[in-house]
Amino acid sequence: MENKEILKILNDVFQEVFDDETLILTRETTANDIEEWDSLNQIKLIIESERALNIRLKSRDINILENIGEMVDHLSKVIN
Amino acid sequence: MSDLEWADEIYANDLLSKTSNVVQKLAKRYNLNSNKFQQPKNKLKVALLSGFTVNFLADLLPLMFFRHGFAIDIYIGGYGEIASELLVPKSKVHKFKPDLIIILPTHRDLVFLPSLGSTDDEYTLALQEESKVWQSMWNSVSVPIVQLSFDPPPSRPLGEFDGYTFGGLLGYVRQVNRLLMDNAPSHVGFVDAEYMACRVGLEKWHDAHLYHMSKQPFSFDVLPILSHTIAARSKGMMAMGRKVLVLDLDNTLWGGVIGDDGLEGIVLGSETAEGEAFSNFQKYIKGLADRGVILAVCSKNNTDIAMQVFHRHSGMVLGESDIAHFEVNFEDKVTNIRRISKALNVGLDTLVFVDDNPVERAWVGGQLKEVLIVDLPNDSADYIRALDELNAFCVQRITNEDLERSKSYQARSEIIKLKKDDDAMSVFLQNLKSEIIIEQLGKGALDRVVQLLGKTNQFNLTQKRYSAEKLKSIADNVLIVRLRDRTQDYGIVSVVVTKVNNKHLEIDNWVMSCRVFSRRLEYAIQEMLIEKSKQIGCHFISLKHQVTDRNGLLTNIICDLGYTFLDTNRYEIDVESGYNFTEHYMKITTKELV
Repeated sequence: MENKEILKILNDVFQEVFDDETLILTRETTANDIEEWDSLNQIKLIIESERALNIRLKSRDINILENIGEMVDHLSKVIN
Repeated sequence: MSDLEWADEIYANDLLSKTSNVVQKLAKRYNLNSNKFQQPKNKLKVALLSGFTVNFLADLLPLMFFRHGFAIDIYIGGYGEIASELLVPKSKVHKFKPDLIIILPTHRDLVFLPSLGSTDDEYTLALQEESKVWQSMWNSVSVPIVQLSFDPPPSRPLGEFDGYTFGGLLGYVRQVNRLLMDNAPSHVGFVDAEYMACRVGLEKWHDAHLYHMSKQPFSFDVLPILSHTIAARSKGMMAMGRKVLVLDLDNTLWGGVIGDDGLEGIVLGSETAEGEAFSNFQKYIKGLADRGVILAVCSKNNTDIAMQVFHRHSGMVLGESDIAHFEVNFEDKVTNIRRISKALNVGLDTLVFVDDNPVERAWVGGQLKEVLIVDLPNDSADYIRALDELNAFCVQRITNEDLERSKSYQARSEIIKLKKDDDAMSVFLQNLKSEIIIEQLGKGALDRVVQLLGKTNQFNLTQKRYSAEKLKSIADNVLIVRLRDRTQDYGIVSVVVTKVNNKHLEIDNWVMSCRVFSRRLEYAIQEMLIEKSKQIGCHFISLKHQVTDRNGLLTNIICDLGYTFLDTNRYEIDVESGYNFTEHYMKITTKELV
């Protein structure tokens, strides 16, 4: 799966979890850019991403990621 | 009503069939916009104590309680601090002064599990120790508690023996649950975790992946049904569960249309797969009736033709005598449901309506917001589940009165038929050979008395509610009235809470079950109150009538009993001269009255 496609799916997941259809992710987006992105929502994001992409993630791997770009790269590695 | 475009989804009958992320999103929207919805009059401060991360569940609770008629304000206790929150008198939970406490332990919170190969004595001791801790926690408060029972563990080191051998955790969970449920005080009610785990499947009940990430043990998919069930159970613990099931006939109790298909043509009974599904649905409904849910029929049919099915079809499980009231005619269902509510003397908010026809459901749902509408699925095989998962008829405890209820509603409809004719009524009442027994509140009656005081809406002078603790402390002044007649024993049907103030016997509250209206029971009780006043040297009996939209009928009754209006809502009667004697044909027996 292409990184572009992963970003698109991730964007849908974020829109759903934060209930905000205007939310647009870029590779540079970080937790600081989204006010509601706390530790509980982080868990929701992981669970819903897993569902959307049909994969299993380790929170340890996710928690060290700096921004959405790194997340996309990590997801790409898990998927492919 | 709100102008938000998603507002209707909040009320949707099929919310529980939606996926967890949809429900979570809706709950979040509700939490942000709750002020835009008309908030229920019943406000509850709810404390949530748990052995795991409860935040995701807490997000859903306001919505689920709203759907059950409560506006709640939540306090979340410290993670894993159930015992310390409850046992320390000045802890945050006590300072919060909750109206309801929800306790959510898991099998991880069991502390005395005996080791493999323990003796009988060691095992019994462990169970007792486990129980003792909970008893002291429960006794630290008097408000209602809804507690999740201990859940089955995710794995079984002892394999098939885990549930039955000493030292097996699954077996221990079962034993502890049984012991706790059998010995819990009346203000504690359980949500059955073992059933919940079966309901959602063990692989969802235990989500190890999510647990290690968040310390929430179950999958998000569990959240909607669990939060719904907690709200339903809480409503039951407040003695506010629904009471009446209103049933359509064609394609609801049987397949086909009796008016078109005839007795031979309708689908019902074990001969066909579909017919068996309808019979099973009736069996389920019969089970509800047996434990005190009142049944009514609301159907667009010719009465004679429809009743043929009750009288002559071998596949019928429900009989005519199981139904407390029939409205079978061609008028619209809103009118008929209003009639049912009036005939049975219950509020619309105690009704649950079952109909296969979505048009009828929408019509009734739109007009009568208080009525709970069941969205019957297309396949009759799924009817039971649709009704069962709503958990609409939750009660605090199933009492003997609940078990006897369906009988008394039949007697009551007989009375309504006779009421039109005064002479016939007197003869009928005389023939009933009714007897009332008056006694002070004893321990065995506490559950029923709390239930009666909490649930009665019409014959309820002041709407004042009492906790079990409070009632115990004033037991001498709580008079309970039992009724029996030739046909049956009704159990406790009325409660009078009194207070002596100088030469006045003050009635703090007086409630009477609507099942025994029109039997002149109130006259017999008034006669008893007059006697009691004389005995203890009171010259007057006084009462307040706090008028609500439900108890208006009391204004006439109070005057008929001979009370004089004082001002605003206060009434008084002179014990020597005021009583308006009316023949009630009841024998009054008084036990241990001081």
